[in-house]
Amino acid sequence: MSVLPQREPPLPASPTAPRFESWAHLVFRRFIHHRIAVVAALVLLVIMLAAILAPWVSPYQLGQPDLSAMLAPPSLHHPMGTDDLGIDLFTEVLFGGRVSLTIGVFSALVAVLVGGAIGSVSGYYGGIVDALLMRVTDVGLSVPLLFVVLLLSLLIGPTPVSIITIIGLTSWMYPARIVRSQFLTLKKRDFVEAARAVGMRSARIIVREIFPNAMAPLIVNATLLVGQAIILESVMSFLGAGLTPPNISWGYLLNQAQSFTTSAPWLAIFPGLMIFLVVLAVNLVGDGLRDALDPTSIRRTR
Amino acid sequence: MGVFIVRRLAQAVPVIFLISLLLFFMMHAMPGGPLAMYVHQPGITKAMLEQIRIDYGLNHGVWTQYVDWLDKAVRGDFGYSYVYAQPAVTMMLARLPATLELMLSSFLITVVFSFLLGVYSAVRQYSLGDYAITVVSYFGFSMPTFWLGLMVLILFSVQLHWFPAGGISTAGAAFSLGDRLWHLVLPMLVLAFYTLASESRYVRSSMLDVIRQDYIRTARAKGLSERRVIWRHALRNALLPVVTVMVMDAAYLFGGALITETIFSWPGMGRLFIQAILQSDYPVLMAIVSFLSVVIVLANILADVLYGLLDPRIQYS
Repeated sequence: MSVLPQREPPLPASPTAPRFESWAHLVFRRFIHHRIAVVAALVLLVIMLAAILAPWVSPYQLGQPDLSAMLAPPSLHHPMGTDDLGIDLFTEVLFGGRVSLTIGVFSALVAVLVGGAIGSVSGYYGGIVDALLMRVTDVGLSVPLLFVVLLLSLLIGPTPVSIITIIGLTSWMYPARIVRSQFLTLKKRDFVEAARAVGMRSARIIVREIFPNAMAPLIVNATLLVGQAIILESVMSFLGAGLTPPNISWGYLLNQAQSFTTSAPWLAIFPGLMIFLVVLAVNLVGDGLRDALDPTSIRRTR
Repeated sequence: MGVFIVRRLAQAVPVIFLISLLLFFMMHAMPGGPLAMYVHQPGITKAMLEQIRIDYGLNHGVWTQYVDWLDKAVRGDFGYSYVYAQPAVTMMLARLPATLELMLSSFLITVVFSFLLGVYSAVRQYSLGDYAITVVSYFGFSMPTFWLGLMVLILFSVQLHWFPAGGISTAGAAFSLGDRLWHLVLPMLVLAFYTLASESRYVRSSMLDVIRQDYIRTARAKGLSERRVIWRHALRNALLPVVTVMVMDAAYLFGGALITETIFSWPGMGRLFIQAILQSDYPVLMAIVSFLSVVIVLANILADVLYGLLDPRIQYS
């Protein structure tokens, strides 16, 4: 065990802040000042809760047709209208949120884990390992993403797990580059030297010493990846190469809405509005996090 | 400079090779193989299947097939479409002009307006206009292109009937430029929106960096008109990082075109790709993905080279 300090303080405490304030608390305090980001975080929270609690908060049962209201426009009974079978769109959107959000979060997680691992190894070891892994990253960045994702979905067959894998394994390149560049600077710092001096193994230094210090920009990127993954999944479903019932995602609802652009435009409006809201909120939260995690990037406000 | 270009090209070769290998093996990993669609056809016999296998060269080992494929691919032969029995490349090239028409017009709009909006935003930082542009561009890159497309289609064609609901021209009518432009407006704007949103931000931040520099103050002190200071002195240096992004984005417009073409029934390459996906038409898919990969790699190189040409401080040795 090392008796040396486990990690350097990631952020220099501002002169006014008490020295004992924890990093997480400091970040939280900075984030709270970012008013738009806080509102976005709340919106996101509400949408996520509504999706998680869908079976309890939805006004109708999923897939239960209301034969008296087929293709009904939005009303008090059906806040988002109904489809051609009289199925309540609001209910479908709530359940669709479960699918879309799950895919978004887990795809980002896969991308960050894979990218984090590749970036860490690449940055820490350097040399031929780095050259090889970065060439592979180049390949990842040189394929036409949307086309390849659709092709993979066709090949593997779209299930929630396969979609998460496909999106995750085609989105790890930026996280990898971010983590690598962090490692390149961090590995020269004294605390890494100290860890080596007390005989810590490389794997342990990477995971326990350097990685925690390289996290900040990765967290910001992970947030943005959630939004991108949600859009990518919905594009796949929209184009007919993504999830199909019983896994109704917002993209699938939009795919179905295409046949009713004349008779029932609300079918196309609401699911897309949800995607838009979530992605917008995620991007704003990401911006807030960036400012909160990195004091040098704080934008001047009036 | 010439040496640099050659070296960049040489670096791209292994990347392209790895991509081709990746894609080729992906296709052969599929369940049922390329013959899946024939197996389910009524009236097909084992002997006929075997004949098709041999015709398509599927009876050889996978590596032999790859080498065979690569050899042909380099010469632009991606085999025949499983569905239309036409050369895949011919089908792709036939669709390319429509896609390029859409992409180039979008790109033009993006470049012109991202400069206008970006420079305005930077010069009038924190003004009402700057805030409005910021908000709209935030919306722009949070909005899924396909949803924007659907909304625009519903509003402007289905409800208001201002623009046609799809296609590249009126069916059966003789060619007329007005008609073509009429059909182009909606898909072009939808495709441009996302890149416009992000690129106007790049122009803005790049301009902001430049505007604060001393030489701009000097230019102003010399008594040059503000217009000249901004558009000649500042923009020239602000261009550098932006050009790279724009060239890269131009290649990625293909992805946006895929979505836009599907929504607006635009007879381009993207729509061909979606058809091929739905029909498991692998030679066509392979041709398109290979083509686009090469385009992206070349765009990367072009961006690097342009950067060098525009910035005399960069020495390539």
